[in-house]
Amino acid sequence: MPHLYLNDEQLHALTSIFHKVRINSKIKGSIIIPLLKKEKKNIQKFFTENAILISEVNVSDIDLEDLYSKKILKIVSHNQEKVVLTVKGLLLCEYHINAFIPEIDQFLNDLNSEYFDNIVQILEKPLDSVEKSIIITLLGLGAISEDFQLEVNSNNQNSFKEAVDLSKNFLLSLGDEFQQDGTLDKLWKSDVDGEDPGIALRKRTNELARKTENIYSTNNKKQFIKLIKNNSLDLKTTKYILKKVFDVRILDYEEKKQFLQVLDEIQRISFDLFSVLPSYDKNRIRRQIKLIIEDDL
Amino acid sequence: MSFSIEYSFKDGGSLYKNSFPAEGDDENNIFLVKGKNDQGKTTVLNMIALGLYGLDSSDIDNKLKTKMRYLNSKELDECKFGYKIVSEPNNLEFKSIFENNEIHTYYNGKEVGKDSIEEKIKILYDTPADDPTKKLDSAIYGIKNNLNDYITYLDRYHSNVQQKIDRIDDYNDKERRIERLKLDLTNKTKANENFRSRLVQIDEDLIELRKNFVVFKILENKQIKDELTKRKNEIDGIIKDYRAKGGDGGTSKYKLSIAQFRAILSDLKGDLSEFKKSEEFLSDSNKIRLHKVIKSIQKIELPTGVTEKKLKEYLDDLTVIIRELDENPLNKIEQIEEKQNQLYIKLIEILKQFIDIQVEIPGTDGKNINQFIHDIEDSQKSIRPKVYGKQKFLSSKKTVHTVFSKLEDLIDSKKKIPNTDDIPDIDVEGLKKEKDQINRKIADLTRIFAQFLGEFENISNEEIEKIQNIGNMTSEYNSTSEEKNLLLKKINENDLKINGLNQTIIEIDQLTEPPKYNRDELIKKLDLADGISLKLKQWIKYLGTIDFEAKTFNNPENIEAKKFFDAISDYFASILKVIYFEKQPWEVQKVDLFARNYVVKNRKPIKFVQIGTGHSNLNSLLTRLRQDFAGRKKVVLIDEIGHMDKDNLSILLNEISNQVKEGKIIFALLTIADNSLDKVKWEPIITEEVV
Repeated sequence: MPHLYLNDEQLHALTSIFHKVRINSKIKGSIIIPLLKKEKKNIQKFFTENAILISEVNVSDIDLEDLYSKKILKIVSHNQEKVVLTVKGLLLCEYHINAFIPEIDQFLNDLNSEYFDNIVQILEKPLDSVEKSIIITLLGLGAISEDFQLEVNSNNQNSFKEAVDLSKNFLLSLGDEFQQDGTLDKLWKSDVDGEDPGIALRKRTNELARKTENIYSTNNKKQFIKLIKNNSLDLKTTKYILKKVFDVRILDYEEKKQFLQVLDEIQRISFDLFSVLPSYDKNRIRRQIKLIIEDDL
Repeated sequence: MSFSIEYSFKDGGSLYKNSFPAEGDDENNIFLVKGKNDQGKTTVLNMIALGLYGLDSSDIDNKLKTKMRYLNSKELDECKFGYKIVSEPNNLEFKSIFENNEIHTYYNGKEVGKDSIEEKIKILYDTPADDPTKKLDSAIYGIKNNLNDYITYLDRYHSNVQQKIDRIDDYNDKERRIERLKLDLTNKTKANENFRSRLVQIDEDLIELRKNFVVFKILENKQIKDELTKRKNEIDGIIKDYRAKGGDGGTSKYKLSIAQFRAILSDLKGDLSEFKKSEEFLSDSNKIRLHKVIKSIQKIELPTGVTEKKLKEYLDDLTVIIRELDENPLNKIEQIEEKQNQLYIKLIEILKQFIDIQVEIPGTDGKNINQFIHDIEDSQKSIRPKVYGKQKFLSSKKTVHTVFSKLEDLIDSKKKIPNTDDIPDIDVEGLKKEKDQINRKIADLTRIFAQFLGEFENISNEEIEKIQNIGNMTSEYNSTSEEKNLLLKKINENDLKINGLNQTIIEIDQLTEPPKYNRDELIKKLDLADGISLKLKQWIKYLGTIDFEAKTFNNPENIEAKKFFDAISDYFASILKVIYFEKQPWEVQKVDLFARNYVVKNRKPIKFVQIGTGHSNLNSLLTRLRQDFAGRKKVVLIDEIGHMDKDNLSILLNEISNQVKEGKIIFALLTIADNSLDKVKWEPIITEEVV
């Protein structure tokens, strides 16, 4: 007698999501077969349009984790906290499959890999340690608003290096998990002799925008992380970016204190890198970031 | 006016124990100290500075301070000194004693602290040998240092204010945060309870799943291992067959048969020269056969060099030759002639024993023994061709038979050697590699097998049978294990969070009401500190762009920067006051950084580049000498004055002398390198004599 694949709560939640997909896509008959016949970009479009907020999935944390691990649901945006029913999820719902038969599970996983994983590009690539140090640096410097972007040039590159080194040393102090990729060791080793640190570093951060769902933005030597929207801090985005930085391990109480101190130290270097003060309310934003680090990280 | 010093100094080398100036010269306050390098001129100068200020003073040139610190080093073998400065116009007597790394200073006979000395006396230290532009740069450097100090103070101030604001905010948020964090704590604790109960369930499931996994792993391994072993044996068989056929160097049996073939062949070749002699008994056609066989056999080197068929052809040729030999008439020669020949031989042998006896032999017409022997030999000669021809013939015939027999042996031996054409066309190296891989895989499987064997042995046969009936659940085992790991990670993360939350809650809970600061005012102070820091950093950046040696200086577009440079130009003028050019002083009104010149009174501006090194040195020194240090009396210490030209030195000494007379300078010591002197010489500058 095969095991049941999903419990009642999970089934109920999936049925509800599937129903939403049906209404949203306005398809009366089979959803999955016509979908698989579509072109790649249309399949991508289908999944983008049918993503829902994680909070709309009415199951316990443990059941939700189970649905992720079974490749039935997939987080498509950590930033926006959105999930989508995968190809496997759609097949399970459409064909009412709820029995664990290894061969069928393997078959569904293979289909999912071919028609979902390979097609739907999930922006979940982790940041390497250099990219993490850049995010920390920009956060510390306050380069978090479109009208307060950091421009590194030959005059201020040493101050920039000083700020990045503070971030780097902090990450290194947290232990092996934050330097396993080895990128921090090579932080200032440029390919070209005499290349300025700003350019050297920009070469190593060209994937950062894509990896952070464009929260990190760079253009014409200027860079910033877009955390301030309409003059106030976007709490969700800030939590998201910080969680991406500290994805390998949760900071303990002392480490959080240390992190806040490092951010304050980097902030003092901002006077070397900017000729004006930011237009946003520095103290209020600092307070909000502090609370996120202390209470939510 | 007087000065005298006594000192002793030793650092590894010889001990310097001196007193200066020479007797009769001590009624002076300005000295030019002349001598070779490393004779202690600068050391005395440093002693005077150390005796006045000690090492804690901030009002001292860093370069000089480093030298003073050296004098105070406990690693020196010896350093002690005592000196006295008397200045009648000021009614002042100063005395300093340094011994055992302790300084005692006396002012008008009374011991006083160094702070008190610093209030009364200003040391002016200079080394004109330095690059003159450095003087100007050092002024900028000094300003930058000061600005950086202000920034450091501002940072501290900012941090203090920030802490106060944080405290106010933390206190105001206290209740709301505790409530929120407690809720978070409850959720995380509850989640972990759920996770843990799910973990218990998973662990139970995993017991059976693990057994299933182990059983199937072992069975699967066994099956794979059997298949691999089967294939390995197959490869062994193929390779063995291949080698038996001579491939890959062949088997030992194969190698033996080759050796045998070669031995027979070698033996056979040894008979060929004898064999050739039989040609005289053969017809022309058989002679050709004989030669063909000899030549062909000589050519054979390896078994592969000849086919069995060819060897048989040679055997056929030999059969034809033997047939002809069998038909040769020599086979039929009478036996009587052979016996006759034997008899002749025997007779000659007997008669030769009596050859010296001279007797007639009856029936021989009077012939003696010797002559008789000749007769017998003649008779023997008449039958010899027949007799010897047969012997040779028989010998040749025997050789032909021997060759025939050996050729037969060679054919037999050849038969035993597999034909090279029979070696199968297979990739033996590939097979060997495959076998190596199989061996490695088998070793791996054995290792894996051993890993699970302990667990496997604990599973009863009955259970194994049951498990086999249920079917392979490895996939479920793997996903369940994965789930367990995920859960453990979550639990661990939540525990960390719970721990952090507890600590934060405790910390927030302990917050007491902060002093009643006005938060808005504090914020304003914070913003003000930020604004000033930004401004000061900006000024430091502007100062960084000033380069006295550069030909041009870019006019800044920024009004702020322009104002800054205007102010600094005036400030530089106020420092310089006067510059010496064309042997006369000019009152500086402005140092124009953009036009690169000094704007002076009653003359057109003097360009930066027009002022040579000597002038800059002098200007710099005079500027410092003329500064009024809030009425403090000046002690002038100038090291290595030799780089200055005579005119400039004269102006400098004139200025010092005037200030000594006015009581502004109480003592001046100028060192100058002079290699013509054996000993250090203190040359007093008599004030009245100065031009």
